[in-house]
Amino acid sequence: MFGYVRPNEETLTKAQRQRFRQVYCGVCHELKDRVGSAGRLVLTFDAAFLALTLCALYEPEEAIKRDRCPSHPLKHHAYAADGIISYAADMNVILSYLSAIDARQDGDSRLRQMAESRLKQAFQAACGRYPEKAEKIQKALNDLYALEKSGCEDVDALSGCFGRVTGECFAFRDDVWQGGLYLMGHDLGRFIYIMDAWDDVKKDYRKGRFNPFLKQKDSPDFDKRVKTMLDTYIALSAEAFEKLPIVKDAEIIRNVLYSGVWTRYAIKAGKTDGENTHDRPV
Amino acid sequence: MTDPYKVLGISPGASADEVKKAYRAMAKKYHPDVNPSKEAEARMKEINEAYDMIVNNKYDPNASARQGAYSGASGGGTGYRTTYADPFQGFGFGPFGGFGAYQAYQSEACVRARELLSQGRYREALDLLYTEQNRDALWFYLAAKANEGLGNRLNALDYAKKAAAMEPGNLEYAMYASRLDPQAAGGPSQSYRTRQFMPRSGLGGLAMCLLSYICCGRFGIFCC
Repeated sequence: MFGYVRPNEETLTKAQRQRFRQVYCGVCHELKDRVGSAGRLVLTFDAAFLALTLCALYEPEEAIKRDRCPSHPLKHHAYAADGIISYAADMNVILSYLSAIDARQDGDSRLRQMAESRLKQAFQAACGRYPEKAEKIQKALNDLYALEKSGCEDVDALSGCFGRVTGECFAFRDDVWQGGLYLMGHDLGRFIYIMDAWDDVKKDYRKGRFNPFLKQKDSPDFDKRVKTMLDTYIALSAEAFEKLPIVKDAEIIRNVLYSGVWTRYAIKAGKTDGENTHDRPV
Repeated sequence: MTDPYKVLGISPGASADEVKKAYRAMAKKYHPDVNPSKEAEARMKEINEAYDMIVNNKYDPNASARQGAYSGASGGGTGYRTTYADPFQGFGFGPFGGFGAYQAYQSEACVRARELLSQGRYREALDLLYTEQNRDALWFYLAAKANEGLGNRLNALDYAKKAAAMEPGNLEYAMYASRLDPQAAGGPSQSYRTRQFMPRSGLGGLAMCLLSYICCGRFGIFCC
């Protein structure tokens, strides 16, 4: 489910790559404090993007620290630290824990055990810091699981549940920006759910798992139809973003929303219909 | 109505970026964290309202069309909304407008659903509509509005198209379906697609993806 919301590194400038890395590593450091070495495994691009967006809007006091780590053992690298990066790490923990213990993960009981043992404490601590958010997120995921269990194929109903999760993460606090941030996060979450369902449809079919697209996967215009759904929601998320008074790091955020989120689609759709998509916009 | 551009200290032709920069500069001065006085609070409220007016295309100093950073933006509502649609946007001269206009039969459910929509109670409106077996064009139109309010854009479009197809002469239904259609001109999807740029597919893109996947873990951590 996670990992789609990432930058298109090829078109970022060096400074932009460094800035994204600072935030990404910043979230990683916070995760290490919360869950130890497992932190690196649960870190998501999505949480880094959340941190980047909120930092761009609120421009909190930020410290740039330097350190080495197992992923970067040779050089010291810079990473950012502030209240928002801590918040993003908490959201990362909450989502990673809940998705890991999700009972539908039939193949991955090891993941579930690891989640239980290593993430549970950090999960409870994060929920303690953001009790209302955690409750809304849990409820939304429970609603989603119930719909999936019932075999619901209504893409809007399903993606809307996941949108409530991400919307809640983006709606940082009760202020004039909460509504706009919620919308940006919500429609981004719908995009993620649909992308994930499209990406996994053949695998889910083979494993007899739920997927809203099982019946449509073989139709000739399947990719195209899903692309229209994806376009609809990412466009709305981008529209909500463009209304926020964000100046700092705006180009990195745009890189993610207008390009990076399509990374997996570009590769997979490019492969299946044999078209060379890298020379023209889709 | 105060000129929001004057409030932010910019010209009406200011670009989107200039509007945002101007907002941030003003907010730095008058934000309650920086400036706890009563005057600053009132000023901040004014600044927020001005920004909202510009960004959501609400300011019109005269009747003619306005050129500006956000002109042509579709959709309604404020920048702070938590719901998606103003259900009566575009409810101009449709089936409910005009005294003495011919009122086609409207089922009780549709009448009640309309009330709920105007109150922003989209979930209730939709649940109510689903109890109604008779699904005419009006039913689909209202169901589309309810879905739009809930953020269910795919269902909203489906239903809107259905309403328009069932009553082809109805301009309001046609315009509504067109407004929601991502393929139609002028919507957020269109402006999105002019800025969209696909990452590289093929060997180059795949290599990049694999590299970041293998390098440091399943979520693709950078390692350079």
